[in-house]
Amino acid sequence: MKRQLTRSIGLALVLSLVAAALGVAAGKTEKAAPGRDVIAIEHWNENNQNGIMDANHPQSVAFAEQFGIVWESPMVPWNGGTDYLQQLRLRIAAGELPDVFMPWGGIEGELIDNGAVADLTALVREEMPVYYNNVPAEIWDFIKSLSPDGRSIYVLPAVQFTPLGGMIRGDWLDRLGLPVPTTVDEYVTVLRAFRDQDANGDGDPNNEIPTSGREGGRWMDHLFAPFGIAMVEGFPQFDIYDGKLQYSAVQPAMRSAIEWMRGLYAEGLLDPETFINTNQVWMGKITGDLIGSWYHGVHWAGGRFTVLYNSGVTDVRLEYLPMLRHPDYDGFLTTTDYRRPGYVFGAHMSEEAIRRTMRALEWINDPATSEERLRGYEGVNYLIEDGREVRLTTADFLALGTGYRTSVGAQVFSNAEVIAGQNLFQMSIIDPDESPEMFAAYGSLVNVNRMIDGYSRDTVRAIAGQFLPPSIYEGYPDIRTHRLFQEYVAKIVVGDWGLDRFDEFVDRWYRSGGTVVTERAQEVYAALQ
Amino acid sequence: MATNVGTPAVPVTLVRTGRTRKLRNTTMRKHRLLYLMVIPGILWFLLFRAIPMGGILIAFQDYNIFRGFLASRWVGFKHFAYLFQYQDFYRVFYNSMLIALQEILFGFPAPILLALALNEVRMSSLKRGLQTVLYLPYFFSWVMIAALFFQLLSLNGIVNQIIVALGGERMLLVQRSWFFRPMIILSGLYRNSGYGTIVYLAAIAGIDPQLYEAAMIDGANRFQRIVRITFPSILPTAMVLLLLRIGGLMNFGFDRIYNFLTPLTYGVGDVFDTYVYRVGLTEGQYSLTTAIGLFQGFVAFAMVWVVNQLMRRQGGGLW
Repeated sequence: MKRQLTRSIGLALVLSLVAAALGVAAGKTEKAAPGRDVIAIEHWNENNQNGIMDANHPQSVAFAEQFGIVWESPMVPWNGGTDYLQQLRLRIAAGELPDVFMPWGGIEGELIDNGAVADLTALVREEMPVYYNNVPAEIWDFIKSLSPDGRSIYVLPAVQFTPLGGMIRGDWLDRLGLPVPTTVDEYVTVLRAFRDQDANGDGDPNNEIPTSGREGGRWMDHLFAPFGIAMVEGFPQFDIYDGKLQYSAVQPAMRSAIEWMRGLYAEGLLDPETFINTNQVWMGKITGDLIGSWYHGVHWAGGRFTVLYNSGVTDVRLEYLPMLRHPDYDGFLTTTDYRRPGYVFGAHMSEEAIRRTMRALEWINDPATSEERLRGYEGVNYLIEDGREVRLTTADFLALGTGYRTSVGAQVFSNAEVIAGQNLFQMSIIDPDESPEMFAAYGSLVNVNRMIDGYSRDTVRAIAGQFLPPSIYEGYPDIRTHRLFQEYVAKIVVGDWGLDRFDEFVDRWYRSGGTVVTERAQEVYAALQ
Repeated sequence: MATNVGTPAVPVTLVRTGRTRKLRNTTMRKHRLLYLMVIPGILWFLLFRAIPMGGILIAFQDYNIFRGFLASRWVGFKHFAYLFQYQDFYRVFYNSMLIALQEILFGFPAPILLALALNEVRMSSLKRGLQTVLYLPYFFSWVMIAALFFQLLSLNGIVNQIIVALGGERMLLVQRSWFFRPMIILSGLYRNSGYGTIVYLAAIAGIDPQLYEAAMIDGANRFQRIVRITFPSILPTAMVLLLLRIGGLMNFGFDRIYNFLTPLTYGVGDVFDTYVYRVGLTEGQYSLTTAIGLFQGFVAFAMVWVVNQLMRRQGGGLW
C-alpha cells in the first residue's frame, strides 16, 4: 500500500515536471497567422489605456479589408508614461519590440542608434504624402538630425497634437457673480471666493478646492506660465533666458513662481494634496465637482463636461482660463510645434508590413478623411435601427459590453483647426433632443470649440528648446526626469522647506549634471540655428 | 552487514569506496521519493538564483541591450567609480540602511511579543478570532495597504478627524518627510506582525507542559512563567529567524516602499530598490543599476556574516 502510494506520488511529480516543461515550450508558439494576405500589426501608444483593440474589433476588421492589416492594440498601462516606458523596456529586453509604437522617455535616440527601428526616409514620402506635406519642414529637419547620417527619417513626429491650457468652472463664477480672471490678482480673488463660498452650490461652502495639480508638480502649468516659465505638462523646458538657452526651472522667475504658489498653498487656495494627487484622484476631484480651475489638454475638456453633466451637474459650464498676466513678468503659455515622437516602426517588420501600416496611418491623419473616421464603425460608434443610424455615446457603447471603445486612435497630426473642424462635424451628426446624454455630448463639443478658440487667441509661444534631442541627457537620468525639480518645488510650496532652499536646488541641479546637459543643449541649439 | 574486511588481496581503500557507494545507493534508493521532491527546489535555485548570477557581469560592461552581452564593451569598475561619486548614492545608501535597521528594531520583536500575548489568551474562540484578524493583513498587497494608509491619513481621514477632535490642526502626514519612515515601519507591523506569530506559536506549542506545571508548583506567576519558560524556549527559533531576516534585509521589498513614495518623500524614502527601478528599468541604465544591485548584495552578505559570527560566539549560528 505504502509502496503504491510512494509510486503514485513519484509519478505525479514526474508528470508535473514534464507538464511544466511542455508548458514552457508551448508558450513559444508563433502568433496564429491571420488570413492569407493580411498582416497582423501590434500597435502601442498612450491611448490604449482607453481600451484594447483586438483582431475582432470592427475597426481591425475594416482595416484588414482596407489596408490588408489586422490592427491590434493591447492594453498597456500608461500611468503618466512611467508604466508604459517600463513595459516597452521589458519588450526591448525580451527582443520582442511591438511593430509600430510611440517611443517615450527619449528612448527613440537609443532605438535609432542601435538599428532597432526601420529607416522610413523613402517610404514616408511614397505612402504618406499628405502627412509628409502637413508636417512643417523644420520638424522634418529635426527628425533627420536624430539619425546617424543626419539625413534619414526614423520617426514620424506628433505635431501639435493638443492645445494645452487652463480651465475654469464658468458655472461657479456665475454663482458668485465673478468674471473670468485675466490677471494674477484677479485669479487670486476668484480662488478666494471659491474657497470661502459655496461655489459648486451643493450647500457645503467648505468642500471646494480652488485649484489643483498632480504629483510631481505636474499639470499646474497655469500657475507657472504668468512668470514666463517654459514648461510642458509640468516639465520645465529649455528656453532663452538672458539671451542664452537655459533650463527654465533654475531661473529667478521660477523662484518667484514658487514663492507665489507657496502663498497660495498657505492660504488654502491650492489643493493641500496637489503634490500627491495621482491621475485618478485628480480626475476624480475634477469630475466630482470639487475643483474650480485646472490645466489640461483643452480638447479633453469635453470629457470632463460630459461626466459632470451626466452626474447631475446639468448647469456645468467650462470656460477657458487665459494666460494670467503678471505686472512684472512677460508670461506665456508654452507650446511646441513638435510635440513628441509619434511613431517608430520595428526594424523586424517587412517592407510590405511597413507600407500597409503607413497607408493606415496616412488615412487616420489625413484631414480629408476625418468625417469618415468620425462616423466610425457600426457597433462601436453607431447602431443601425430601423434602417437609421443611431449614434452611441461612450456610456452606450460601454453598456454594449463588447469592451470596445471608439478607437480610431493613432492620430499624430492635428491642430486646433483640425480638432474644431472635427467637432463641428460631430455636432452635425448628433441630435441633441434625443437624450440628456446626447445633449451633454453636444454641449461638450460646443464647449471644446469655444476653448480652442480661446487658446488660439491667447499668449501662446513655441519655445526655443523644442528641438532638443534626448541624447543631451545621456548619463544623467535624474536630470532628464526632472526629479530634483519635482522634489524641491513640492517641499518648498507646501512649506516643508524655506524659500532659500531654492538656491540650493539650483546649485545641486548644476552640480549633478545640469551644467553638462545645458552645454550640450546650447551646442545643439547653436547647430540648429 | 557483509564486508570484505579480512580479504587481504583487496586493498582497503577500494573496499571502503565500494561500501560507501553501495551504502549511498541504498540510502538514495530508500529515500528516492525525498530526493525526487528536492529536484524542483534545486531546479528553482539553478534557474532563478544560480544562472541569473551570470548577469552580474554586465555591471562591468557598458551593457547595450540591443547588442547583447557578448558584443557590449567591457569597462571594468567604471560604474562602481561613478556610483561612489554620485551624490545621491549616499542618500540612497543611508535611507536603505536606516529603514532596514528600523525594520529590524521594531519589526522583529513585534511578532514575538504578539505571540507571547496570544499564548496567554485562554478563551480559545477569542484566540482564534484574534488570530484570523491578525493574519488577514498579510494577504493584502502593498498597493492595498498603501491605499489604506493614504486614506486613513488623508485630510478627511480618521486620523485627522481624531486630531481635530483633540483640538489639533489637520495635517497631511503622508507628505511629511519626518513621517515617512514611521509610516513604512507601521505599515510593516500592521501587515506582517500577525502572520509572523505563526512560527513562534508553533514553537510555544512545542514547550513541555511539565515545565509550566513545575513552575506553578514553585509559585511562579504568569509573568514569571513567560519570562523564565516561554521566552527562553522560543529564543533559538527567534535567533534563526533574525538571521534569515538580516539576510533579506537589503531586499526590503520594492513595492513596500514604492507605493508610499512621492517626490515629497524622495529625500527620506528613496532606497536601492526604488532607485534601481527608476534608473534601471525605466531609464534603461542596466549596467549602473546592476552595479548598485551587486553592491547591495555585498552589504547584505557582510551583514549576515557578521551576525552569524556573533551568534556563533553565543553557541548558535547557521553555519
